[in-house]
Amino acid sequence: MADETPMKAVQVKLVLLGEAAVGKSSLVLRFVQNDFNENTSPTIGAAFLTQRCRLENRIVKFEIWDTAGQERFHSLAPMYYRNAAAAVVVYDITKSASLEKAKAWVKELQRQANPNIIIALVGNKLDLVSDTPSEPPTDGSEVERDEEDEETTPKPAESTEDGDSRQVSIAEAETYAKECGLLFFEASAKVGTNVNEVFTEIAKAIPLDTISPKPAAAAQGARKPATQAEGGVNLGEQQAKKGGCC
Amino acid sequence: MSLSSISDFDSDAGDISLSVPSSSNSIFLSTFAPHEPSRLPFQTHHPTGKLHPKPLLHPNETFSPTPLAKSITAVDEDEVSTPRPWLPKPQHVEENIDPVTPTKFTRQFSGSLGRSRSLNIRPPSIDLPVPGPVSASSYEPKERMAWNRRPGEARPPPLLDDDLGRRMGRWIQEIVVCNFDLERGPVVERRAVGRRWGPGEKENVAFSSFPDTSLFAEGNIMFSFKIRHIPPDPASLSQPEPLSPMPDRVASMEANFQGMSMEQGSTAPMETPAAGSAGMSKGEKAEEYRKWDERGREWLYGYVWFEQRKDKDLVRGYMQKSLVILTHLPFPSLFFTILERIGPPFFQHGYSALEAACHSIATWQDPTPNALLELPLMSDVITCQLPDTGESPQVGNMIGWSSPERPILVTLPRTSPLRALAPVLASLWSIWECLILAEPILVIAPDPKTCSEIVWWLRDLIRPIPPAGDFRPYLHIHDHDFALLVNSNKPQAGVVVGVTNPFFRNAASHWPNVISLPTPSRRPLPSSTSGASPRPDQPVGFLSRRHRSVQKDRPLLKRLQALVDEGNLDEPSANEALRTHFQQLTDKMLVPLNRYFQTLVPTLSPSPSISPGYIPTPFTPLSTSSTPGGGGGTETLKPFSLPNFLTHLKSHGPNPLSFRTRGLSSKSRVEADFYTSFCMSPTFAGWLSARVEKMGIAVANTRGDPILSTSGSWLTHLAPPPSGVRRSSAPGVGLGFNLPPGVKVSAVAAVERIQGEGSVREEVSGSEDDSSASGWRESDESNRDVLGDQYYSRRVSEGAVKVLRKEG
Repeated sequence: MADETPMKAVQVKLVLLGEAAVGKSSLVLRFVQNDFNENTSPTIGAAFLTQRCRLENRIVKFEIWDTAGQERFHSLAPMYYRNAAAAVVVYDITKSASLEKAKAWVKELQRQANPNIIIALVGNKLDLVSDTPSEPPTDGSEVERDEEDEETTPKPAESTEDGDSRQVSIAEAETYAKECGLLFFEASAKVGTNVNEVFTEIAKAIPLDTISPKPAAAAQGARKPATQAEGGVNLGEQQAKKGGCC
Repeated sequence: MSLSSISDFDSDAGDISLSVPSSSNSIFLSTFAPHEPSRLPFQTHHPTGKLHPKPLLHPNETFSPTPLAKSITAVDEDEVSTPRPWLPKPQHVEENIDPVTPTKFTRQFSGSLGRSRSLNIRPPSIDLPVPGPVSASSYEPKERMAWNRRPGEARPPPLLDDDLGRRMGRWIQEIVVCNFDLERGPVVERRAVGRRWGPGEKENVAFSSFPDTSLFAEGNIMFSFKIRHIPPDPASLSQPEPLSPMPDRVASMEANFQGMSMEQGSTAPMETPAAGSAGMSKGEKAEEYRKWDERGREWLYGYVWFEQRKDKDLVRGYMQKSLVILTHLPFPSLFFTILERIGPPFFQHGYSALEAACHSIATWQDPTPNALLELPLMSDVITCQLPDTGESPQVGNMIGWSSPERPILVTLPRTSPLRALAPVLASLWSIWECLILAEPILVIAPDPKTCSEIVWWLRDLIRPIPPAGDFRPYLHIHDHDFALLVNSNKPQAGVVVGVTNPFFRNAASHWPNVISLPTPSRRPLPSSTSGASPRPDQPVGFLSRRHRSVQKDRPLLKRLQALVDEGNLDEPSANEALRTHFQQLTDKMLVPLNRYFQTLVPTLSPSPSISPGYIPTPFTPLSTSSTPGGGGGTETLKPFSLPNFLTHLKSHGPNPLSFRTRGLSSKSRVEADFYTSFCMSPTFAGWLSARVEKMGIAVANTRGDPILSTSGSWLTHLAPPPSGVRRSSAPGVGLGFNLPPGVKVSAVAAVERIQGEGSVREEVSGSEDDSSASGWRESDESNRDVLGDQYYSRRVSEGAVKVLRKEG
């Protein structure tokens, strides 16, 4: 945040949704403060955080509404995703039920949210499965925080599902994401894997040029196919030269 | 019904009830109730003397549903013409005795207001806040907003734990939901924080949170009120909260109203619930009130979202609830914006929405003077500009939603000034004079939103001069201070009171200045059951005995009037012009005073050429003039002498403020009279105190001394205050900034009325020691502190300020 460029930031309202305790707040905490907290208390209502990122030659200011997963706050969710330009739907890869909940959220978003909303499906808690199976988005993102380069590089994958606690296979989630036209990642808020990538890819997927105070005005095309998650986003012609968040 | 179930039913919130023994006894209830009040024998005496809220058990036996809107109008209409809340109608009520607690007491009293309270003592185990993740909204009735606890239903826990409550308390002390309960009247249904009520506070909030006439069949309205915050007795804090505050309150209210009805209740005995008030005499109680603001006590502002909806499931046929923000911060537009964000989700989704909002607020930054803050709330970010610590008006965009470019100016009301003041547009100059000269003003409006917005604008109109008296955006007849503010005596100087109850048209008919807005025309019903007073012809507009002294700005008036005529009330530039004009009017008015004041400052050459001109908040000249460390000895502010000032006024004319000729009086004569009146009004004292304090700050700044005191009461609630900053009621503390030892700009300003001369002279005496050198109080809305052995007492009727000095 030190480099306060005179450039006007593009504001992107982003909402996190998902079952309780899948790690929504932790993902945000990792993204915004590069921190992790083992024992967090459940979010009430929604937490609000912002993070500025540089994407190519633009500044993107994420206004992140981290909603509560608890059921009793479900009815408030429309308030938060109503004008959102992007949504991150999180599930826990060690808990298959959470994927079902995530699918329900996706359905609700597709039915009721802004039709141009960018949705990313994120399987969290990658660190809990022994063999981190990878779809490491090694390309497309030299997203790195300056201070953080800890070596949690996902081991080259031989994706098998012998992971002790894994309950949701990559294939299953990825197939679903493809069908629905979502960005897809597996990530770990605890060690940081793929967290910045999620946000970078979202930023790339959003037609920043058309975004205006009214996110609903995002004119250009609907959801990007999931394949974009693997890099080669057409929007970032130059492959996200510098996606680092400031 | 068993006793225990009664106490459960009543345990947390309500504790206040209205009982209507016969028709049209309580204007409040009956204006609301779409039923024949006479058909509501709410409470009967059990053989053992316990109360039985009958309708709770057999609601449908008691009431027959009637067409809603029609009946509302009918009853309202009826009541409007016959407001007789003061009619004594003794009724004996006994309070419940809780079977669990050994402390049993029975109290008997009569309630002329038709109010009864059920004093229930609940087992402490229920009372304790349940910490942890107990879902507050597990009690939440989905789509059941007219929810009330039923017998046997457990008390809900607070929505926030203590820590979050404390953090939210920087901005908002409490959010309460009030329900208009058919059996019990307005009750506090639930609190977010579980803040302890002061004596009588709960009732005061509950009553003040509802319109006292019916306004619509369905809809919502936002308004605000201001009440005294009465801290709970410290001794009681360690114990479970008592269930019904102020045991003697109802009786005393009754006495008040009886007094009123007999036209004798000047200092009617309002219960002043400060500790030890039991033995107070009437006069002492009135005095207690009078000194309330002078001692820097806390006010509590209530910002209300009232919602009324049809609901077939309710006996009444519709739900009437208020979402109320209670806070020490006088920031109407901020809190109305907050209510606009919270209200709809709350009434749609229930308490989980409120819980979410509270958690958001708890994360906000501290309220900091002059800060531009971004406050996330309910999926949006509110951008707002806080005021500085003084009284200077906030300038900028007045209308519209917040955005980073156009932050909300928090001290302003929500509606545009033109919209609020349009009905009295042509009289604004006279109204401004009333405010400047601390003449009391009563605002009678058809609804609480209108009157509260007007009062807030009037309060803004004379900035940077602090208001001289109490101002109440919406005063309910059940307010603690009702009888002190509105009684048969001459009203206190400087008070500005907004009301809606038609009762005030008679009760306050002797007020010298009344802004009267017409009740929206409703067909008067012929069936006036009580057949009482025919509706008086309501004079409308600004009714005053005052003769205006200053000139109107005719072109501006014409321009504004044109906009009013075409209904374009929110036109930004005109609104800006309106507000700017009166700010400048105030500034112009102050120019000669500032100029003269400068001549009183020691070490400053008395040459009049150093006039600060139009700048209302000057003070750099002063700070530089007081040479740091220099002077060492006895620099003393010279006394403010009215004759000298008038001479000064004359010799340095023409002055910026334009006066008109009146009768045979020349302009200069009118001018002199006007300034004389001003100097004899409490407004002058407030201005002078603020002025001296600023000078003290400036002096301290020059010397690089720490400034211990800042004005602006809202600051003092910031936790935790550095030692010495917090305003307290202790004499001498918080008065001021430590003036440097050398510079004895003591501010002990004794404004003394010298009878023989008929003039006001102010003595600014040198302080004997440094601690008492800190003479002047902060200048928020009329706070003046008790200073050591001196205190103000406003001789209101004389319009003069007198400082008594008790020797020894």
